[in-house]
Amino acid sequence: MGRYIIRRLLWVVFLLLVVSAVTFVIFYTLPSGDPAALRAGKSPDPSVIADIRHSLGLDRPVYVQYWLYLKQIVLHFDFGFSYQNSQPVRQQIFERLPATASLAIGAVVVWMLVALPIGVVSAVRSRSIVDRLSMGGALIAISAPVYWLALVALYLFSSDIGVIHIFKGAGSYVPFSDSPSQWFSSLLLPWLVLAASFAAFYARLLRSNLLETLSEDYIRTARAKGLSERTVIWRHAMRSAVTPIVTILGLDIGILLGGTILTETVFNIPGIGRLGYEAIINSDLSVIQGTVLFGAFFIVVANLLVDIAYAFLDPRVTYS
Amino acid sequence: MTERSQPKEKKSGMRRFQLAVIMLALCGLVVGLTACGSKDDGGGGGSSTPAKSTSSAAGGSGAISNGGGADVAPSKDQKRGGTLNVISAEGWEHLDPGQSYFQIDYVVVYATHRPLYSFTPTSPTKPVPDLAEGAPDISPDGKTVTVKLKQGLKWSPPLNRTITSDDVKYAFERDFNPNVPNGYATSYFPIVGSDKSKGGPISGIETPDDNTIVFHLTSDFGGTFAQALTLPGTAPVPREIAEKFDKKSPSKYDSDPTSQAFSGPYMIDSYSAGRQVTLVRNPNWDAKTDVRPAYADKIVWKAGGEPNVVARQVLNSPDLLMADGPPAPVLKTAYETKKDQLSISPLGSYYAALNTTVPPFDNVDLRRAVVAAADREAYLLARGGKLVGQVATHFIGPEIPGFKESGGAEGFGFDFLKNPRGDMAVATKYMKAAGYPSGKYTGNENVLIVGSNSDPGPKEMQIVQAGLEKLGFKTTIKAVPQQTMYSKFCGYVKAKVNVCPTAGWLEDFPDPYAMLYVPFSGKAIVPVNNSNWAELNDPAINDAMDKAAQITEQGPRIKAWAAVNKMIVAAAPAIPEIWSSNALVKGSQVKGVLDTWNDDWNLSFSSVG
Amino acid sequence: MTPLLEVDQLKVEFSTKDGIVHAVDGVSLHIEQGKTLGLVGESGSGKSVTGLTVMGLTRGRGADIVGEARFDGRDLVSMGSDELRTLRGNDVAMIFQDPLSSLHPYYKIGRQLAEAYRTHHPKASRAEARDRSAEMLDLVGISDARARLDAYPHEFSGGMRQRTMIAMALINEPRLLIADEPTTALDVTVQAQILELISRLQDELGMAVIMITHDLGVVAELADDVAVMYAGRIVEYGPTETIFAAPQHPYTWGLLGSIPRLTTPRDEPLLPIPGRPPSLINRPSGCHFHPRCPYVQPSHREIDPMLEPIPGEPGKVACLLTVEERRALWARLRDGATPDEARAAVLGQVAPA
Repeated sequence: MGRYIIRRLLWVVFLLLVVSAVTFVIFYTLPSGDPAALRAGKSPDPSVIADIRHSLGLDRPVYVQYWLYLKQIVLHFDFGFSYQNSQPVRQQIFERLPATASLAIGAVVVWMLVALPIGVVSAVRSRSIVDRLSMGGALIAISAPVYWLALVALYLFSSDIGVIHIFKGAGSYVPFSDSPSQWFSSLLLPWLVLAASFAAFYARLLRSNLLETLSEDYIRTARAKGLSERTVIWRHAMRSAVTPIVTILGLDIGILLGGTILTETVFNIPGIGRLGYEAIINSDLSVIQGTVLFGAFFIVVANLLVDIAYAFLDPRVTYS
Repeated sequence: MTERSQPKEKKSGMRRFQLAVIMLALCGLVVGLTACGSKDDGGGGGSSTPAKSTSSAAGGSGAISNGGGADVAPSKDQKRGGTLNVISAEGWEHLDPGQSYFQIDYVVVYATHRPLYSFTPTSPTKPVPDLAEGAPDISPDGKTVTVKLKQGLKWSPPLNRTITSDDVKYAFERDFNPNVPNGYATSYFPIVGSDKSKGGPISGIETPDDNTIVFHLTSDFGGTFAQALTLPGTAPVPREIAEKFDKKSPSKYDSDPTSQAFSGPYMIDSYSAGRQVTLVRNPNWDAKTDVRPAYADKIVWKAGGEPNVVARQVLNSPDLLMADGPPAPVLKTAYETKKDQLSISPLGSYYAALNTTVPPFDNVDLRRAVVAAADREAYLLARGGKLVGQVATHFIGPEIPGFKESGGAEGFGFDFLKNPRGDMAVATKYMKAAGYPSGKYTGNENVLIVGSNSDPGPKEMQIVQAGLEKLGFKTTIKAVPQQTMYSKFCGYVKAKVNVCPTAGWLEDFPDPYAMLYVPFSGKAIVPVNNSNWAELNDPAINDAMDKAAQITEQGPRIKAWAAVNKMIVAAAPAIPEIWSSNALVKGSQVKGVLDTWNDDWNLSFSSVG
Repeated sequence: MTPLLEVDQLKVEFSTKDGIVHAVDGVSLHIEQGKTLGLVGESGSGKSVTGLTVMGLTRGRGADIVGEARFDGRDLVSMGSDELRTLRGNDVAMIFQDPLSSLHPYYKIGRQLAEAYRTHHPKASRAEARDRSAEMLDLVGISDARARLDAYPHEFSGGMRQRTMIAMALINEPRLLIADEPTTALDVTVQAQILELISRLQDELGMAVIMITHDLGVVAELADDVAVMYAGRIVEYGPTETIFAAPQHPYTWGLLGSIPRLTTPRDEPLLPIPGRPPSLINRPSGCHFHPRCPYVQPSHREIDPMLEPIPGEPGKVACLLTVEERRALWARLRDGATPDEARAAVLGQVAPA
């Protein structure tokens, strides 16, 4: 297992290199803003633009720029400087990471708490009214675009612009360290919105996994042993049905940590997703690079952790 | 890795059908609810068109009166004290007075720094001495401008010392530093030696004593230069603090704005990029030397979020000021139900530029035909109707001196601009004059139309296309992101684009030079980041502009520029689309006072009630 | 002596989209303490469903169950679920065909065994359950039993897994073991070992065994009595020797004829029973076997035979031919005649009627 992990870690590094190179290339080859021209203002002298380009190091060949960029990261953990905000990229990302993490992890907790009972009940009572209603509702929740759902949620339930004043409105997020209670109450509605489609997806997934598992032979054996139905479901069936879900959950967490742009935007939560989006709009290469790299890092690491976890969950799986 | 079981999600045919039906229904809902909810980036803010001054009715040029119902003029009974709460969907770009060039940035910068001269809510078109003591002294040949500073003004703590002319000199030096850099310095500050200084001393600036600064210009530009001294790049910057930041590329002077030194009534107390800024009173600011009342004790500004949501939050609140414009659906709601919380004020204009150097539009009669055939009202509707402006007939908007002298809303009376819905008969006349007896274009050129791919770009491109096709032109449309449009197409001479329908210009300060020179003077054409999209280069017009630029007396200056305006309109380098207005919303109790030249709140004049 | 298990006219029907599946259609059988009953038939004959229904494992799966299955005088069909669960895995146990898929892949062997034990001995400690599990593994012939408790099912061979299943089934010393095709998924050599194991344990524990299989060879070794099932019914029932020496039902003849024997010449073809098992939803009219019976008569298409005792023999059969006809046919077949030849000779018919 140890050698496997080391090999995978090397692969992580390689992947991140590829991601950073591809982002670099895309930015320079596709038509988008020219950072030097953007900073130069209206109708500047060409010499002014040239000066700016030189001072930003943009007049050097792409591969030189890329090499310098890599050196900065590896030697100083320095991800460059945002043209737009005049802030170091690393600082911006680390400042915003807790907000994204709060949103992502909280949503995970909410959706698992919702999906588990619904999935189990639907599978155990499959084809009943409860099952059909839950799965139908789940289908709608999955289909609803997050952006739309977030807006609707605010227009219905927020205390400042909503019809019924239950939850705190957009922009009320504060870091946990500032005020745990406000942090929590400002995230309730975003958690619910973000969790909605995931909960639906996981409920459906759990239901189908569980239904399949319940038709396996070893479930028949468990019943033949005289176990109560509850034990059969929770100790035998769930143990198998949940394993693939852990895999997908790990990957979803990795993806979410890379930034939940739409939710962050509508609820005005200062997270990485929003940062990346704004950087793209403003052609702010270093920030784009930084957010993409971090996003890729989370996904790749999540992938690795999930694979390792799988070896613990399923004894038939071994790595060499 | 050995085997691993995969979950299987089996969907029957019935399920797929259900899914499709539900998706269709939801898509309909989504489109309906969010159709116009996308950010309105035509109004300035986050795009690279910097937003500049407009003057209100107080400018006395027949401008549109405030279309909203909010009372945004300063009054004597405003409350002192308290905290102003400002909110915006966009964040700030640069809070460094040398770098800032955007509407929202200006709101903060003008509350914390004092340029040499300022426009104020009480004097929206005539500069008021701010750091300066009196009007600038312009030499008869227009090449030397001398400004005397007020005595005894102090920097904010912890610097604390007196502000000197060297601080102003350094401000100009850094404006020309490629590390900073300033976006308008080369346009408006043609100072001797500035092209070579690159951040070092500028030979054309002298400081004979601590309170005097003398500018030697490379041409007789003094009259216009005096107007440009209202720009934030003229606000003093202490050398000893900024120099070490300005050595880095890019300059880090605005990475942490709390480390700046401030000359204005407020200081930046805390800053979180793109999220929040708080201003507190500057204890060293002397109210007696300033026309700014500075009512509020503290100003808290939060940025970020979805514009629809933010705008609604503001409308539902007693105390919020929204510093960027509300999206169209909320604007409509505000206009219909909360008019007293809405301000609508003119700012800038939009037009469809026709490339005069590339066939087929290198023929002036052909261009006039195109202008005549254009349905200019359609452009107004595409941008949002009467709430966002009015149909234009020339290039000086109602907020700029010279509007009245150009015939006001009616314009100069050219036949090809008489009918806002277009006039095919007149168009045909000009087509014939251009050499197409049938009234329809029979040449080979395919007209390339390039515009922004975000609203209202695509609509405007279609309107242009329809108009051109009525005249027999074959057209191609290319929709690209806004930044790309500026940098790689319309602003890039080599791209040879024929029509750019989403061209717009916001004046840097309320003077017709700032409105007309860069977009229409042949001398302003540059190969990259060009803003004269029509590439108009008429020696007579260029000459007339240079002459008008050097007139210092207001009356004759305005008349001369109105004449220039007429020459430009006659040359038909663009289809005038609309003189646009910007809307702002505020909470129900807060007293927001408008800076009409920036079309945004003036924090030093606003109060909590 | 009263039978340990008495199944009385058991009917199990499943409602499906296509119609009602008559999986078990009036099955009656009995088994005494310590004896072995072989339940034989093709797949779809209803033998497995019978076994599962006795265990109560067909309840609640859309099954309609009628009839009785009295274990020690108590009817398992109408018994409450909770009460039935105290018997299941305890007094009555079942083992299944595929031991790999029948063991939970994620739990260790020891844990699964211990669970079986502690379910019915809730007061037993972990250590006790573990001891008992090791004891059982030893009993079924798995060497190094205690160490093996920490193994996972996939680490065992097929034979070892089936032994483990047996150990798990017997851990609570059931009085009746239902074995559903226990050797079908195993190698031939291992099959023999497992059967021998079951036989030995049966003697040691005094257990009754119902051996469900399609393989008459398996039954020949172990069973005291044999019930042959076809289309959800028992068509022949009797002591093993009788079934093999003097079978009465044409289906049984077919089953016996299709067994490869060491004495059969190599080049002689096996005689499979022509045709396929019938649909359990739309069963053939009259005698359900008639479409495949070489000796069918016109009346057989209308009259449905009952399972009746055979005059002069210890068993029962459900067939419309006369005893004499059947004896004569079997005599021919045993001597090597084909069904066609036998029919021509005994019934005088060249082709089936």
